[in-house]
Amino acid sequence: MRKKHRLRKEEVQGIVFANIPLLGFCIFGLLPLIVSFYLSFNSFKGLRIQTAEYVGFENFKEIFKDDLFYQSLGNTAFVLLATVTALVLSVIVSALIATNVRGAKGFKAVYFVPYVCSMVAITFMWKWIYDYNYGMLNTTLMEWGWIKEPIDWLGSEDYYRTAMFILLVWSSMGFNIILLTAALLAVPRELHEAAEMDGAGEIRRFFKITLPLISPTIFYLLIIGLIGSLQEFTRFQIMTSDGGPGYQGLTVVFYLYRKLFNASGGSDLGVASAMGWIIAVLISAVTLVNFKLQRKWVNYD
Amino acid sequence: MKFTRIIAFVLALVSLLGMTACSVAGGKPSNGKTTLQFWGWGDAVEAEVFQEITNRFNETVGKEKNITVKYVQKASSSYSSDAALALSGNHTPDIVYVEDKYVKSWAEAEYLVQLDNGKYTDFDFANAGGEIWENAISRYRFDPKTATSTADAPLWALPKDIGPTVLYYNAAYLKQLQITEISVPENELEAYNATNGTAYTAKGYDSANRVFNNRIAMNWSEIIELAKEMQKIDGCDYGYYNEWWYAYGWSVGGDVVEYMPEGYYKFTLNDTSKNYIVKDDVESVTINGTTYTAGQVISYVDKAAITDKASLNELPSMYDAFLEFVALTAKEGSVVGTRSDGTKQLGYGVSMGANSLGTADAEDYFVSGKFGMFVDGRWEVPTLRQNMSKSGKWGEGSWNVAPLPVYKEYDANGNVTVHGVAGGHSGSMGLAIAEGSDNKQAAFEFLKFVAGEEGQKAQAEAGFAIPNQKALANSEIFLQPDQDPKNSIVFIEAAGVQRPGDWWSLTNSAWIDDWANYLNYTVRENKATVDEMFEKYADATQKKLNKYTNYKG
Repeated sequence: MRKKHRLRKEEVQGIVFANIPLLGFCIFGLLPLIVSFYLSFNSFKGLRIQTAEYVGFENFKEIFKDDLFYQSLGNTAFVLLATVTALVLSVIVSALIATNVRGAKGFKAVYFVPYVCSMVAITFMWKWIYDYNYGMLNTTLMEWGWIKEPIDWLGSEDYYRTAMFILLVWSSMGFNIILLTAALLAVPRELHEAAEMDGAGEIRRFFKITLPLISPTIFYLLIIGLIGSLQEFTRFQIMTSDGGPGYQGLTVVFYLYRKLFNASGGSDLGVASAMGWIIAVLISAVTLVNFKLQRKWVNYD
Repeated sequence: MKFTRIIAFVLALVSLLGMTACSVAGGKPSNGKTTLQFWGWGDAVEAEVFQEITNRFNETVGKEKNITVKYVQKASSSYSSDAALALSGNHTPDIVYVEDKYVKSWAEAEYLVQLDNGKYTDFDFANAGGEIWENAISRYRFDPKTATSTADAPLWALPKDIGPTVLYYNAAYLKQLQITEISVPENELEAYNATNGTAYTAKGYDSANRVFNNRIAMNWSEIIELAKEMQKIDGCDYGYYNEWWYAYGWSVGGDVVEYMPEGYYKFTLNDTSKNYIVKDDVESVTINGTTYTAGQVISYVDKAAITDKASLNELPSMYDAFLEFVALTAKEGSVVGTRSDGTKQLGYGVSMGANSLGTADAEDYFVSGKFGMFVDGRWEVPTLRQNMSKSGKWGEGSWNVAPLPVYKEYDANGNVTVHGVAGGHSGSMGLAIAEGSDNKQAAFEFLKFVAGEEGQKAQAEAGFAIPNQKALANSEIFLQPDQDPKNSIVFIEAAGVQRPGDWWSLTNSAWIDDWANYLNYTVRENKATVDEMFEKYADATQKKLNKYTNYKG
């Protein structure tokens, strides 16, 4: 007969301490998740949960019938593109910094500045840079004679995406560069020396040795970058709180926000909750696809 | 070691419990004493004024009735969403502000207490219009069952203030252009001319004689002429900035939506049919069972039944009025759209699109001299007093206010032959009692105080809004004739005729968002015409409007 294992005092203390954050997660993470699931199948008067009326999948249908939802998906895909671009540029910049050129530490600090600054502050700074009448960008371009009239960076469908692309890439590179530089410096020099002796050029060595060895770091940055992109809201909401020209600034989370806190009055709690679950499924799907694909290109050896 | 573990455990538990939300409610009465929570907003000046009003209430009415009000200042940028969240819960503040654009949705969501349901006596709701601006109180009436705001619909808030819009103009520019500025109401013009030997016409801006009368509204052509004059001054990029169509559309009796007898809202911004107004020398006329008196515009529903136009003057269609507005920002000579008569509306190039303001506000451009005139509300006055009247660049008397433009036609002698009505929008903030309040009767006592003479006087003295009481608004306490703008009587005249903008028309403005985005980003930036805008959005907007009343037609 198995002897009943009596928990030692240390084990009890360990379980108690471990359960406190778990309790926190249950109250502030799991419970809201369950409530949100319930909300997504009901309609309400304003934000009053007491007025819940079961509507089945109507909230989801309303979203899928809305053209703005598909536009927000397209806009979010644009943000994903900016994230991937930022990652590629970060790899290139990191490769240059990791060669220990003069001033490499200074460059690292400069690239890391956007990461340590408040996202709100950075966005406001760029909003002023892009300002139609007083912005530094238009003023400089006109001073140099590159343009004759100011460009409406945030008010024109022709330029809005370009303006946001620059902001997104610029503000995303800092963290990537720090991690990638560390990963690059951890690549054993002997491998490069051996390959050099075998006649491999710099570029070949980079693609055949360096990239595979830093691929786990790239994969990690890709995953968190994509998840962050799918949750993008702050930068677009500050730049153009009404969704921007032709709603080019409406991401999926911004779409959810507008459903919940309709600036023009009224809130749709049920639809906003349904949208939250659609976003959750989207993030899960993108993450799952990436985890499946990682076998093809991520090297953990 | 054991002691350390105990401390660590307690700290972990406390930090977990500390994350729970705190109660925001006032309190249930205890020992006969009632404590209320009043959520306010605004800048430092307004916060100070309302703290003072709250203190005065606590020392007078509050002391008598054993009520204490605690004033809680909230961030203005997120006030409405914070309040909506609080009101949706079980522990709410007792008294809140409600913007006129939210009152319908909040009433529908049962956040607010109906004030005229017979439970709150000692306030004459029926005759409130006699003392309080009628269009200030009527905007807080709404029937969630029918989605309409008739005169007998339930009342959800009392107006705290009213902020009408007027035309701000740079008086220094007029001097520079050697344009004579006078201030003579139309009904005193004849006597004025006789006394002074002048021959001023009933025009707001008489370009032939270079006279500007800030008591008479300019017509659509006059304001364009004056704007172009101002643009001749170095540094004045745009003579006239206006981001709202209301003064144009409402001046001819049109509107963006009309409630139809079949019980739905019709999208009428693109209505191409003419409008009609009863001639001034006609006592009354009955059309479709409704009697109209001199100077009244025939309603959208009734004008379809007009058979005899002898007593009426014709006004432009809503479509034409809207084109006139959009033409302000369009490049001069560019095609804005097609008028009802088939001719093309061309751009004037006197204004900037709202989206091009960027990070600055309209008053920043006005203070810097880039705008010669702009349309905005009473709330700009403290800023302009500070940045223009007291500045070395401009000085006292460098700016003033005038009525918004009105549609008018003249004869060869400058006498008005056809005129529309004075129109324009006003903003307003209401005071409401939360449905979740445990102290509704006590809260109403505070509401009466703030909306009454005492509270209104304190606000008027601060100068940031027009008191909701007509008599107080017409007094020197508000008019402040020793300060700019010297012509502040224009605010009072505007308050009497203005109404809430299209944000108020329904419980939310989801029906506006799509075409408004296209209007502001595309049409007003000269990338599409108004015709294209309506082709794209008119049907979809009508479908959205039908949902508000569940209209299947």
